[in-house]
Amino acid sequence: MDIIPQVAVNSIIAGSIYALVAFGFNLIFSTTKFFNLSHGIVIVFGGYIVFFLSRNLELNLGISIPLGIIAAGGLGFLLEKIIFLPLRKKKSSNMILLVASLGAFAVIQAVISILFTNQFTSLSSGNISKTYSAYSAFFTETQIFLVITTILILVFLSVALEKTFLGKAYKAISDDEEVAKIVGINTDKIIGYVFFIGSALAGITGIFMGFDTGLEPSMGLPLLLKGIIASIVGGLGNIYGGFLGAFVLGFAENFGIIKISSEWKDAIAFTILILFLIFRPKGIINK
Amino acid sequence: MSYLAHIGIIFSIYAILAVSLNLLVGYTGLLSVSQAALFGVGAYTAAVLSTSFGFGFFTILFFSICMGIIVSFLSGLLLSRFNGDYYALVSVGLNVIIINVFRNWDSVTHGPLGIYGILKPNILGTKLISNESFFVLAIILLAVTLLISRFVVKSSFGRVLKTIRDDEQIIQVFGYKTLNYKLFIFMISAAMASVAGTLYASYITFIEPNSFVLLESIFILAMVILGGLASLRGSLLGALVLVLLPEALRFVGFSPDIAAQMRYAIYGLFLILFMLYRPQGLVGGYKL
Amino acid sequence: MNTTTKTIVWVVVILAVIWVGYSLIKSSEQSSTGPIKIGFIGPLTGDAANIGQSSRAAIELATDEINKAGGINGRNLEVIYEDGQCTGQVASNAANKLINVDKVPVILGGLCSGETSSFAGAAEQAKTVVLSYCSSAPAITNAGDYIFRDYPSDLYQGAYAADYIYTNLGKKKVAVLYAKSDWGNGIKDVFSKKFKELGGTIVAEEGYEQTSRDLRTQLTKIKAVNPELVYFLGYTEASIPGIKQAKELGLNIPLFGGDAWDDTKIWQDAGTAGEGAMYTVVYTPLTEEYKNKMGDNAATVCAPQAYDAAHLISEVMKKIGTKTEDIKNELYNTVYTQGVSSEEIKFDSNGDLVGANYIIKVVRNGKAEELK
Repeated sequence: MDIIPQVAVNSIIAGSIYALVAFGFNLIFSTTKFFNLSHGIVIVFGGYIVFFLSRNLELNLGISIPLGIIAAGGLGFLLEKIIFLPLRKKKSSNMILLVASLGAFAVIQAVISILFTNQFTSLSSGNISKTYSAYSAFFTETQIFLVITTILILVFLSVALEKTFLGKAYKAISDDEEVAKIVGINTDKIIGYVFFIGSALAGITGIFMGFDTGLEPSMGLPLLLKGIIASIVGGLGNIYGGFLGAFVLGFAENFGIIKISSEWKDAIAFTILILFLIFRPKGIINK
Repeated sequence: MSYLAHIGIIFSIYAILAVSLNLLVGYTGLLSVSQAALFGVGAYTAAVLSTSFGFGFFTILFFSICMGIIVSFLSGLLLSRFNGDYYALVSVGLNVIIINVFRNWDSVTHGPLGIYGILKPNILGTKLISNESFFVLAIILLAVTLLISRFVVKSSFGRVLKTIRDDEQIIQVFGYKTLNYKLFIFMISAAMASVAGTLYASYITFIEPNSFVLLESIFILAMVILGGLASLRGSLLGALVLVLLPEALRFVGFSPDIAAQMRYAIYGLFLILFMLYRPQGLVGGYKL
Repeated sequence: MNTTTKTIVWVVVILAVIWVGYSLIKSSEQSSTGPIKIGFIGPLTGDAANIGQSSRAAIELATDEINKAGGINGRNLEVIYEDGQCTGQVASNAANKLINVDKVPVILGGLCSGETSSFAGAAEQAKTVVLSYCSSAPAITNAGDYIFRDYPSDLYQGAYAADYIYTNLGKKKVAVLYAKSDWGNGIKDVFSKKFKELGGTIVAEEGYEQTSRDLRTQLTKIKAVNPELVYFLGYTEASIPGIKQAKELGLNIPLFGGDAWDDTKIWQDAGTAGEGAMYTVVYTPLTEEYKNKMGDNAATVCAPQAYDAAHLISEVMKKIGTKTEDIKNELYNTVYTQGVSSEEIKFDSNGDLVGANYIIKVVRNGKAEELK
């Protein structure tokens, strides 16, 4: 079947995007143990900052993109400091944190819609990316960058986890926050850094989406949900799990709709979620 | 007058939804984010029966409640195994899947086009065309829902629910099959949501999948949390505030594009502030 | 609950009631002096907002002209603009407000077929006249006695496109990519039927949610069956990425669209990917005067019809008054010849515009021009 190489390529692209979302989500989840739904809107925020800097302020992309990534990281950091940290200090339950993150999501999405309108827009307006093809599958330059970046980030994260102090502190906190505090780790500070890095990764996702498909204020929630599914399938709180789960999801979705109508894509994703939650809730990589 | 009745009707519909959700979240501790989907099941059943058969209102109501019970029974079997944030996550999945069905089962639901031309309620021969008469119907159904909820909450069944909320494991030790209780309250909640759905379909005379998406479930949840968990009065209050707010904003004179977004910004802000400073809501008796 | 909470609660409730009450006093019944208010529904934000805003500009122009010429028997025309966002739910709420709060006798709108379908039922039951300046879905023909449109039904457009593609372009194997909506489904059904009648084959029919922006899945499946052309029925927001993605996937066959493609935003954003795309659009003769006053927006799809709708309605109200039943009856007898969207505007017994002329536009260098 002639269609398989293209579907495989589509799967890899989808998997990379989901993996990027899952990285950040897992980093935050493993240290704070709650479902941070505002992660979804940080993705969108990153994309729009780059849009604003490069389109409205006409700054060079080489400056806009790094600034966008930092801004996204900053937003996540800010949310942690003013909402989630105070709540954790009050020993609020996970559900309260989840609802609060939902609130943050709604507010930020509304603000973005007001500032930039609901209109669909793109970071690559007026141009199409250079296209390449191999074995009758087509893909663009942006997509190649996307996949490479995802892999690089995976490598970078795994190295950082093993070799740096931050990485070790992160692992300590994910294992047991109380014990980490006892051993002298400033958990609040470390979690702050984790939020920054995780949110910066979300920003990168949004920027890629902006170039590849486009930007719309409402695109955050669907992406986030896929990232969460990827994380659960692979193993919640586990970086490698998220990466693996993302590709499992990407492939399942795209190969699934060869036969079924394309409209059922989301249903496939959630069915997989439910199946895993019933039969293997700890995910593929059981920790 | 007609406009006041309109607001009253919208309030009644959302109040029923808020009360039904509070039974799950406030009294049983199940963070359910799929109430809008169940609302939709009721609405679609009513719409299809109305446009295909032209049944009287109470016949349609009966069938739509049955449908709600069936759907909630099947999905509840799955959902009730979970609790806490996992329950929330699976209920999100449920919402998404149900919306997908609304969007893709073209032969029955007309997909994204929606169903229009739903008839206004036909009660024993008289058609309720005016807003005022519809409002009377809506308020009566709200009152019935409240009475049933009160009964559930004050009964021994209700006490078991609250114990499940506070400490599920303890009560399991005593031999209670918590799964059955969670399933049963889910079905009651869904039946009420179906009532709201039937009212909605017969009033607006047009429904489409977008009215029942995840964001709407979040909206209903916000009402419950705002008003107060485990407080029926709270749900009424939450529904009142969150229904009046967009109407008020409409008149403040924001341009239409901004007004819609301001609503969501304000809901979100409410959620954050309440979680930070008053997690039990305005008049609630329980914190999440 | 303690006394402070109780007080807070009561204060909130009372404030809310006062606020709503005050707002109600502000919006009073339509009086018999003062401006005549009618409603407008169209996407001012969201999908097809570009088209919606142009239509609004056209109606504002018409309103201005009408009022400068003495209004409607001395009373000014005032239009209340509501955003329909090209979605049923929002449009139906907007209509509810116009009908129940502002109590307008006429609503000009919706633009998108999904908008009009959503409130046609309510308007019919309330006996409010609806004159749509852009909705083309065939289903609207039977929407009701009070529902009119001065924009042709897609029964014509789908058949015209099928004929042109089969006969003039000589393509016999076609794939259809369509937005699942009243408009998209409507044209798709008419097109498929006519195309098969002519002897052509539809090798693939792929639908997508109106809100989708990633059509690569559908395009991949379409590519796999080797069509000679893609009949792509999409609104602006999905067409831009769709057209780009088609090129990125190496789908180098011609793309043919519907009247929603008559939006300059699409071709500006799609860049080189849009080169050579074609679409059908209603032919509007226009006048020099109209073109000068409207400037760039003059030819944007629906604007001429919106302009004419405003003038037409005010002519009818000048003659007949503002009672909706009278307006409705008069519309069935109206023959309007001073329009810019058509030589003659006349309604058949269903309230549909009689007759339709289409032309083909082709995109060259980011701009659409008529194919001669």
